[in-house]
Amino acid sequence: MSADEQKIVEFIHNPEFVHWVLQPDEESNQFWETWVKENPSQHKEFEHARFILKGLGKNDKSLSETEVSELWEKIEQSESKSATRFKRLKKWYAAAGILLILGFTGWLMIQLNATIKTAIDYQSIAAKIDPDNDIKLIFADHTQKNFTNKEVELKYNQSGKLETKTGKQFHTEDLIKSSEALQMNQLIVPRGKRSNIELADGTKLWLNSGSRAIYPVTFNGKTREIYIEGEGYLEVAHNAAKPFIVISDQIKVKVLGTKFNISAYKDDCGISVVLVEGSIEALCGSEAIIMKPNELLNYKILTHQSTLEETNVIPFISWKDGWMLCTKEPIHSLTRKLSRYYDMTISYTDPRVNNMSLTGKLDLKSNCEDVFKIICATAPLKYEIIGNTIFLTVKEKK
Amino acid sequence: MGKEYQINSDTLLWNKFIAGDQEAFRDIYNRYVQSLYRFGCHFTNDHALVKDCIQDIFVKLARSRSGLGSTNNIKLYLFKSLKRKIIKSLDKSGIIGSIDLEKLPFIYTVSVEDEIIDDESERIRYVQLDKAMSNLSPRQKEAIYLKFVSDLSYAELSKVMNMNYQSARNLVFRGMEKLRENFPKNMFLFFLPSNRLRLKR
Repeated sequence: MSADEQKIVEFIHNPEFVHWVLQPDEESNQFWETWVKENPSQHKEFEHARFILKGLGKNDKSLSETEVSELWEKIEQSESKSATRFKRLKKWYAAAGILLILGFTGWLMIQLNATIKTAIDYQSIAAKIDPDNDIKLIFADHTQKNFTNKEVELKYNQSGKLETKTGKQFHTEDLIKSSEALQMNQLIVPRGKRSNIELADGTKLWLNSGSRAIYPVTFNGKTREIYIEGEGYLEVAHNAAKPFIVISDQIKVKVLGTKFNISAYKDDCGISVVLVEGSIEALCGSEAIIMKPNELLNYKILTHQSTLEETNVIPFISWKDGWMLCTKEPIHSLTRKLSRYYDMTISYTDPRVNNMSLTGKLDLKSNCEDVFKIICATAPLKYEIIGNTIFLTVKEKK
Repeated sequence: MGKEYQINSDTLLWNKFIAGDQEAFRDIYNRYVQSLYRFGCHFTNDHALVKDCIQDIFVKLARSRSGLGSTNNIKLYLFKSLKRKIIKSLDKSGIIGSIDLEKLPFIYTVSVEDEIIDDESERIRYVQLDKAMSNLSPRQKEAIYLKFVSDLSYAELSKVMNMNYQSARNLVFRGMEKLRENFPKNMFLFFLPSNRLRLKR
């Protein structure tokens, strides 16, 4: 090998040299300037080595000064917050421990009772009917009603009357035939459609595309219990005497009166709960997590790990009003939501697409193609619709 | 020389920090936040996520400060924690699925578009460097980056990359060799044949 090459290797493996290229200061500048003057024969190799090193880190993005200090403030804030929260939790654990011992026998009895009396096998109810293209309402006597509309509004009242609104049409019917038994209704909302229900207690439930809910016509028991698969936003009517419980396959959320969003799609690898108002207790696995407003709970089904963090709730609930707000939303998550919402397959193979994230507001009331026109106007993407599939590719720079 | 001094003051800073000195904590943050951010941005284009991860590792550091032992290498500790944290968060957001370290990307481009580089030959050299880099495996890129940009020693980078010293060295050497092969000879006299010989022997 040539002496030139040898020399470059030496430079690259000289920590002082590397250090100087990366973080030059006056002292080292002076040192290397003198060095070059004293070794003019090695000047070319010296420059080459310097070029490689500089080139390697050249395109790195740095934080601006404000970003550096903002990040520091956040660290200091959450540091002090977590410290006090930890202390509070300790106290809470002590109290909970005492309650646990006192309540253990009582709990056993309730538990035994509960499994006999009220445990409803929601999953087997849900499994009986598969979604197709229509919104479906299934009554307690297994008769069903199909709606071809994009959106349906249902309203139950405490005496067992159901009001249905499709487009501009109203329809009222009496559901209670034998008032003793617990009557369960099931609403199935397929991909591409939405629905909202006002339950008998006044609780409002918005169901997003590709979801279903199972709920009683009237709430007669000690608790108000409903089942949700997919995504729903709830505004629970306050009733301290009758806690409201939302059950999904992996998580149970207990509330008194609040507003929150739950997303528990079977094809997602996690469940998320976002609390808008009030306070809720989420049971996932063996863990009970108490949530405060503006907190996001993520629960990972495979690993049974849950995390709680502060968040801006608006992007999580805007779908109910026909908007999608994204802040740095990864494309895979955005396309999964849109494909449910419009019942389209969205396909991309370029890994660069997967690395993109989008920020902005999408009007979901407009049709699917318009939404993709907007996406492709802001991101360097192109779309092509073939049948029921949208293909996304990267717009190459010329 | 310069490095020796840094190690000493790292130990000093660390001990002060463990003793509860908030200024020392801030010094640690200021000293490493930029290089951590730059390193982190090579794993994902979601730069907000990188910032969040940096926040998390510093908060965790502060929270567990009383339980920490003495270390003379804060930098290694931070790089290691940040990488672990980013992998965890990427996994959580479902981008990677079950984490396969080999498939974890190391995004690397030497873009020349945004800048006006007066010297045309220098511009061409950057393009060549970019092309050569794109032929490397993600782990080779990461190793080379850690060695020559983050300025870690082989011992340190082997720990960040969770491999033994010799494998880490080989990764850098083979990567550099590949860089040289992909670099047009007339453009540049590149390096490393000596290491190739050493490896074969």
